[in-house]
Amino acid sequence: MVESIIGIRGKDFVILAQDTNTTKYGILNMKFDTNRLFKLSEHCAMLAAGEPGDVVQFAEYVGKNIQLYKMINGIELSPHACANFTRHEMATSLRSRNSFLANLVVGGFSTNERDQQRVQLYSIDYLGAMISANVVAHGFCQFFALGIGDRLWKEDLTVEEALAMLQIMVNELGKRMAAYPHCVFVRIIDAKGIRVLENMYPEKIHVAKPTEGDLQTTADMMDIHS
Amino acid sequence: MGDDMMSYNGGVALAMKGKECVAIVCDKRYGIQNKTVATNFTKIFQYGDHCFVAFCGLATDVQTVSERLRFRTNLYELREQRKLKPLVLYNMLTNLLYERRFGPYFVYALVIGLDPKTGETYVFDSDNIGAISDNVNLATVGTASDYIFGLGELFFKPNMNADELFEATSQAFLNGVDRDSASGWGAVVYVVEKDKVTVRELKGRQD
Repeated sequence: MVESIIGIRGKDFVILAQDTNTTKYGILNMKFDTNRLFKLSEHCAMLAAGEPGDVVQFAEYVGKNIQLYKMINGIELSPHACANFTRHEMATSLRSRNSFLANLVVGGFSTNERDQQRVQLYSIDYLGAMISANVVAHGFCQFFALGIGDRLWKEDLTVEEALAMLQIMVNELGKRMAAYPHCVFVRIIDAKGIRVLENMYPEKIHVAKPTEGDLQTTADMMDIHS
Repeated sequence: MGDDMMSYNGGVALAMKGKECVAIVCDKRYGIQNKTVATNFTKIFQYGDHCFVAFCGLATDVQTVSERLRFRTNLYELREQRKLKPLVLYNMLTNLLYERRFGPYFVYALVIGLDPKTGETYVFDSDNIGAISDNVNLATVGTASDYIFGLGELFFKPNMNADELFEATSQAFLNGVDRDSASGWGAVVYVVEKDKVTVRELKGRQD
């Protein structure tokens, strides 16, 4: 739950952002360059957070099967199809003896010009409930990301506006969460494919030095020493 | 387990009968306990020309059961080479749910339908293990169903036309939903008549 994954749908792109901390025992940071992005196809990727073993096992299983589908049928699954396949696998796993604990964000750009909505973004939780929305997130960052998304998201969002929105979310995470996101990886998916953008960092918080006055006791103020 | 799963994601649906018309309405909220995550999660699914089903309960099972029912109804239409009738759909659904009698899907369901030749209307409900109901005038399932049942009985009159039915259904639904924090955020109303299906989106209170 301390791991943050966020997806933002724009005019002709999706942005997938993730924090990079791997934590242990709830208090230790083990690593600051964790990758949570799994490529599903040339124009589709998935962010995954949850139980570390499950995340990698499930994401790779789904990813490889989507790649296998392309090799067998010679046609790539759209992000919508990828998300529905992933949801189905998650829902099946939920009713098995050992279910996967992984929350996912699936996003991508459909290469089919006949699709009405070519930019597709989905959120799937560990139970297998799938939703499609303009801004999606998992973990504690959901509280911040969805609220900021509701306020700032608009139709025909540009890349600059989406990144500005993401920066506000990251600042808020850095300011208000005890689990500080030291670094955020940002990727963009559009007609050209998946690309990596510059890392994002929370804004530094400046706190004024306490004044000498703060050291005064009540006795000092009443001046009873002399 | 049972009851808290049914109200984990929230959501509610209502169905009502008129004269040669039938209406079904659902809310659009998807939440995780007290947190609203999405407001575009509709729970009504179409199977055939004059049949609709609403599922309420755990969101993952709403999607799973609706997909499995779609699979079975599609196979039925291909194998039997005829259209699905409401009673057949209802029996398929309750059968699907009862297959999981000792590890059920956490969904309650409403099935509505209309026979385009005779104009006969159908409203059924089912619990999560597929208990069958009579063909009733009014049925509701979901987190706000307690409130909506009372309002539905108040607004219901026999032999309403399509417009009166839409008004009665919407009023009962919206006023019931406003008293429940786990459902709401708009509604979708389907009014099924012999020759057409009308879909209307209601805005409702957004809080």
